[in-house]
Amino acid sequence: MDPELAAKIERREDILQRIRKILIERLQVRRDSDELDADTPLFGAGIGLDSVDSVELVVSIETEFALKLKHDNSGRRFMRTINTMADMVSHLLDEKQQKVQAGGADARG
Amino acid sequence: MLADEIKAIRTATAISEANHVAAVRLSGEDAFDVLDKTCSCDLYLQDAQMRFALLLTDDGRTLADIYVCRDDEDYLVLAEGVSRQTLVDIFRRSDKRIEVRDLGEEFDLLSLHGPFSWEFLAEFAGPDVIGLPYLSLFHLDGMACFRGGKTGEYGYDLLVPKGERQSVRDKLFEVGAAFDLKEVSLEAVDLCSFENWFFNARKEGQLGFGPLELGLQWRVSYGKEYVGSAALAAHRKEGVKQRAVSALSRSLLPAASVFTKQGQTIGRVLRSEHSPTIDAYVNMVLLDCQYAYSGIDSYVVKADGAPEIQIMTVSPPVINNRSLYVNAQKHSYATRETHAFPALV
Repeated sequence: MDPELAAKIERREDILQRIRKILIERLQVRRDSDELDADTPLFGAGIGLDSVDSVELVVSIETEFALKLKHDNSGRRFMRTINTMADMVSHLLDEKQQKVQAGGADARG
Repeated sequence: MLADEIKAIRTATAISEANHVAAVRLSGEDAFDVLDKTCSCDLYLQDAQMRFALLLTDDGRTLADIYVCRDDEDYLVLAEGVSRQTLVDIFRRSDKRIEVRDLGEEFDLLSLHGPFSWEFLAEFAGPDVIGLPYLSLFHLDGMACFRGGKTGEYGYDLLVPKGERQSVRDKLFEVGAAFDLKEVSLEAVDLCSFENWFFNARKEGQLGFGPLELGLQWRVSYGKEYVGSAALAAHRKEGVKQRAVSALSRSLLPAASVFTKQGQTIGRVLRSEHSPTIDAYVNMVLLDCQYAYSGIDSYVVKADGAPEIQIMTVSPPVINNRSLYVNAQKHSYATRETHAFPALV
């Protein structure tokens, strides 16, 4: 595996595992980590989270990844599976990194 | 036209015949035990609750995609992937006190789909249906109505007595005119289901894989014994080698063509379908576990004699379902144009 792909996959796996850990430890999902397939539905049919859980999930994700999620309709499409949550986290981490880099460049300029 | 059918499912209301679904009612003292030892999920069901589950083969592969539903002391099972006779035979056991009633002899199944199907059904059956939770059953004038769906939009399945099928259909279309109700094919329903990554027992379910490869562990219990459970547990213990991943491409990926990365084969194509909604091909690909991740755009598919096709692995569903945003308190089909719903893609 080439190093660029390996790094991308390692980062993705890290995010997925941290989300699984939140589901098991904070939301009391009674499953082992390896049972939580990445495309498992979070609400309704799948793990069976409800609207109260969604609040806890958002707070836990924000805390775990030091991020601020958007509290509007735009986040709904990402609150569907472990994978879609990982997409959102990955995107926000990228944005945060870019802001830090831009800030650094501004400070130097 | 398929695109119009898909549009009806994604933005309005649609109806389809569901004669490919086998349905049985299980009753008798041993009904719970027989079902519990046959289906993959834990049966902690209250009256009128439903659950997605699987029927597995002895060697732990997927056989059927089922809804299990409790109806008072009985259980209803709706299955895709097996014939009516096979479903009856699976549960009919001479050594147990169980009655297996083939509902296909007495009923037809009609399915309603769409982000406004809740409103349409409320017009047809009364406002109480609006508050029905996802995955629940209610009875309605001799019919059973299941709130489920496999398209990512609101969905209902109606078990209609055969003698009333035509009059029910006529009334549905009469009421449905205000909701632009459209009759849609199984092909359209299957495509929407695929876009939303619902398991299809008649397609990928026929390829000889199990819940581990297909990402269906949420439908199985590791805490009880049932048909296929020992093989599944053994497979889990030895470790799964490949997993199904969703991917998008600009071209059709020929079935069984292989995936490569730097010349090395890392997987193969299981299913490839054109989605008119996103104007791209939605694919199910089976990748070696170390490569089976979303968000990778560097894999290519190689079919004999054809140019390489680049794909992008993605997190399903690939549709931003309108039903996520439609709210019975605020929205109505009649006023849909005045609401700013997010784009489907």
